[in-house]
Amino acid sequence: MTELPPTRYSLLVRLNQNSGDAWSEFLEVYERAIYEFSRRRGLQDADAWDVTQEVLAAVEKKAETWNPDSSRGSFRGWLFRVARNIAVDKVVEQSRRAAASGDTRVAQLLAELPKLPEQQSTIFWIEYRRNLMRWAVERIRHEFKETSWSSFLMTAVEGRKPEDVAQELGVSVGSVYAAKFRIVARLRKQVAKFDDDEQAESEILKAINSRD
Amino acid sequence: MNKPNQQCFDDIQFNRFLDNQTDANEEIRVLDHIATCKQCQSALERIAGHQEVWSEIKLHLAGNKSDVPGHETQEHIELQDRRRDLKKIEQLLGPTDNPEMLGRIGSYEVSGMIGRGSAGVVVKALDTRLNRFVAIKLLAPVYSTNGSSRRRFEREGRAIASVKDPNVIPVHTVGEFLGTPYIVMQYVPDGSLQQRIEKLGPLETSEVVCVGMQVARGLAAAHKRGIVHRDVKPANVLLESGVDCAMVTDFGLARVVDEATMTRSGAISGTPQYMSPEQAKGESVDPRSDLFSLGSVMFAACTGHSPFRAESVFGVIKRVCDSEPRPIREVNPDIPQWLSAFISKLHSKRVEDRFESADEVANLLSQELAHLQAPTMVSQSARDWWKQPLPPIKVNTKPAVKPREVYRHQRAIQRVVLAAAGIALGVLVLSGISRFDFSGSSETPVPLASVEGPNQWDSLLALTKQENENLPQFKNSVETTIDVKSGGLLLLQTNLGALDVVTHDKPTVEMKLVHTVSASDQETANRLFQATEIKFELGSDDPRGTNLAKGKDAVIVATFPTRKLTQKEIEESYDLEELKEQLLIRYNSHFRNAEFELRIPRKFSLNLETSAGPILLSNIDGSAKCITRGGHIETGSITGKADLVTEGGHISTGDLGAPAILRTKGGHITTGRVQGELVAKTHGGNIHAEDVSGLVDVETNGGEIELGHMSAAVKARSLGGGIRIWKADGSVQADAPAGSIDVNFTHQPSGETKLNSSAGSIRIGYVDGLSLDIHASSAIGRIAAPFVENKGGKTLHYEMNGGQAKLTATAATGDVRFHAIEPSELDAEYEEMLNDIRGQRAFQLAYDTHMSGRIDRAMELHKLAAEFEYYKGIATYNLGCAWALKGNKENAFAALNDAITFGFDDVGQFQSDKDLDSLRQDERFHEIIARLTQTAGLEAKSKK
Repeated sequence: MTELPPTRYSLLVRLNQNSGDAWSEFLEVYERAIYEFSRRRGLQDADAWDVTQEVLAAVEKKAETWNPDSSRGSFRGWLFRVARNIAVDKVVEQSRRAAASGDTRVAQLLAELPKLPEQQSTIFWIEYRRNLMRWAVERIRHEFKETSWSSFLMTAVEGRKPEDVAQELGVSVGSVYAAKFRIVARLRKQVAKFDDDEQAESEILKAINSRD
Repeated sequence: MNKPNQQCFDDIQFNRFLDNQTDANEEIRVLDHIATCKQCQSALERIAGHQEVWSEIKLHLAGNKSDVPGHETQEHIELQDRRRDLKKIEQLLGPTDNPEMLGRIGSYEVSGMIGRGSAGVVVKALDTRLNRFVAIKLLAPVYSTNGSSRRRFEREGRAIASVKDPNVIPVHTVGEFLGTPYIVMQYVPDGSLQQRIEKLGPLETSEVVCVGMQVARGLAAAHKRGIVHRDVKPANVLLESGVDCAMVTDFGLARVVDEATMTRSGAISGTPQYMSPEQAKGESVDPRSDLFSLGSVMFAACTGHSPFRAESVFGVIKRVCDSEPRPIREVNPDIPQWLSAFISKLHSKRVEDRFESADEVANLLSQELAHLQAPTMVSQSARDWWKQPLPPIKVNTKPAVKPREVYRHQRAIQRVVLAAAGIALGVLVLSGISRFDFSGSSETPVPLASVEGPNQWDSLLALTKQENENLPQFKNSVETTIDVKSGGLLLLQTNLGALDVVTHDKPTVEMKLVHTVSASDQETANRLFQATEIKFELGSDDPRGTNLAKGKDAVIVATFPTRKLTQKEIEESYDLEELKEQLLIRYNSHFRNAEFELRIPRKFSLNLETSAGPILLSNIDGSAKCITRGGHIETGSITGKADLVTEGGHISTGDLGAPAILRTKGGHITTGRVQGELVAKTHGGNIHAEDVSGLVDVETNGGEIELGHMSAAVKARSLGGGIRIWKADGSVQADAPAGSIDVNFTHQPSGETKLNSSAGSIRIGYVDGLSLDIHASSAIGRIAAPFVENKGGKTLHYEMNGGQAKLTATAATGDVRFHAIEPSELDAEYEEMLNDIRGQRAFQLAYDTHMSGRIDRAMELHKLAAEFEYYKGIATYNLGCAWALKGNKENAFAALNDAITFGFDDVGQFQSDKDLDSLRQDERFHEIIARLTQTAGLEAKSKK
């Protein structure tokens, strides 16, 4: 009877009608990143979902204060920093609460926490990139044939020789190389689209500003 | 070594190649070339993405796709969560002697965990009293920390318990254990539809139809009572003997969870896979939302998985709202076309395009099932729904009304009235059938007709309790008046009775009992009523040896109910006691409920006991001892000693004129001023007291403690929440491991003070001139004391004005803060708080009385509640409802119009409240609606 944990998505509810894809894409990536980050910091499932919800709500609120004229860099980059800082704060706060309730494992983690702010940020960055990558994979997966995708995974990810892969899959060596390079190029573009896309930025801003 | 067979390509060509822009010829040439040319391979690698991209891809996409590399696997996470849950549960449970059990919750021996849900965990337990297994759902701490959500959980639980249907899992009890609310339900060993699908894959067509039909029936039963399930999914459909018996569980819990989280963050929650689009968007839902979810459940039964799947929650919601699921027959070609169409209709995004009700769905499916099971004997149903063209688009003109927090109470009232309407078919009020009066005597009442012999009784009573529950219900009312002198003691013992006691100015005790039984017909019911023994005894001595009222004039002992034995039974019986017991058990299987309304002289004491049911007392000029094994206790002022005990439910009292002991196993305790000592203990819930003149000893295992002006020493302990003492004159010992402590001293304390908090902060207010010997320490937090320079130290020792009274404040993680207070400001704030609490108490009492059907009494209480500004509108509205129920339209309309004037403008409430049904045809009702819509319109305009 294991079910999905309770999920709270006030954001989507609030943005239900008039939000563009960009904002919900942002949420899709960050939701998982923050959740996994929280889990890695020792929070239990339910607490991690709580934190995720809180962070996203806080990010959304903070996003209202974005001022495009300022020198804060790109909107997405700024959003990332906001999300990261809030997430790190909330996770520490939540761990502290849990420690007060007597969970020794969390207490141990808590003891390590304040010493490692840079590490926290790095971990958050890794979770973020991982989810961004997964998100991008989901978006582009359908554009490629099964053999191309396998060629890509076996070479670029597993590091196997294209010649061996070609033999195993029964395709030409050239097409294995082609799949590997094309998919990596495609992935990079998809990720870049998320990271730095003016249209996406204006969609997100529009979504945030058009709320009640 | 191969030689490049052609010259190399340039970056532009490669860019074209990577973007799939090359023509067929060039494509072949490039493919050939890069298979061997190392130089071009490097060039392409560089153009495709720089080194970082490559290593990131390698890092993040390594391993199984669903796994997170370098991370715990999903199964691992689940296993860990399960272990931690188990550990948490074990910590929560009380100790047990049985080595095979994990622990106890009240009288339940917990044997293990069944599952985890969105709202909490479900454990299997043995009900030691009835020796049967039960499933107990414990509400997760997230939802149980907030008092109002717990109250709501309790109330919802009761409403759910009122749904009796073979396709709804029976709820036995709702309670609270150590601050954790729980629901006790029937235990179904065979598991859920979810487990069945996971284990055995998709179901056969006839099984899908059979399960769908039963779920629809269960939903229909709940919808009739105004309960929308909101979380219909395979995990909430429990199966017994294959799919022959499917039962729906977890009714309305989603809503409780919603409300709890709503108050926290404005969010909604749930498992989105099976949600309806309107629910996922956070819009208001009606019973047809459950039909969408039923469609998803049937889809999952047909295909083995939920219809709307995506990797993230947002993805799922987007699918639910915007896209059609994959056609069922693509996944499982065995499913017939009509069933696929049926599920698609349930899956209509527009509410109006779905079936009209769960009843309709159940009926259609049962026709289909009959045909499937006996195709030669039962012809195929007409399937009009399939042929029908889609209905024209309707414009929904109804304004969406979001109930405000406080208006939620009204919904519950509406549900109870609905429940009453549900059984109206079989109800016959037999008021006065065995009405008898006896004054000043202890004569046994003579039944109107002779009782039948035991054989008839046996056939009459042979039905089991469950079968009886489906029978119509009959009521009988019995009234008795007993003359007494001015004072006395009333002893009353009853099984399953609600007790309502008010005082009057006559020297009589008047007792009215409304007694409900289930029976196949009126004649049987009459026999049951006649066979009921209600003992009233009047004596001059107290047979139980209680020493409540000294110098009493009369003692009345009432017991109810027992079943009288016939003469023949007595003659033929070998073991009379056993026979009596058996008969009582059988009798009790018919017995539904009893409501006592008692009127007693002003100076009278009470000793009341009921096995289950609320106890309501008006102002009592005497002492009161009340015990209920389940239900709340609400009283006005009590001049004598008060000893109030409930095993589940809140306790709320007015001012108490003598020492008081208030105990509940689960629920809040609220009390007015107390002259004398106060002992208040709850296993879960908040404790609230106004000024207390005597010693105070309060303890809760989970909840907030708030105390007014404490003249003498205070001992307060809350394992789960904070402690606040507005003014302490004596010594204070406060322990709040999980919450904050807030204490104010306006006078020199007469004793030593010790404040302890592990997780919260400690705030101490003081007026100038106090002489304190302060010892403060905090392991992590700060110490803020304006009267002394404190360089961020972790400890503080300071002797203020000579240091006469010792004050120790120890915080583990929070701050310790001292702040000077202005007594007049504190008093003003305190008064405001008192007013809030009193208003809430008045409203709650009126509401509970209204709910229990004592409308006359409720009306007086509504008026009292309306005196509090905050409750003016809603209480006046409730008064209008009461007038409507009484059939007095004039007064009803007057009150409703007043309510609007006072700001109660919930159009939806007016339109849907069953209490107001008798007014709906009236012209004045339409005027009210018009008035409200106009107001709403104006408001909307002014907002724009």
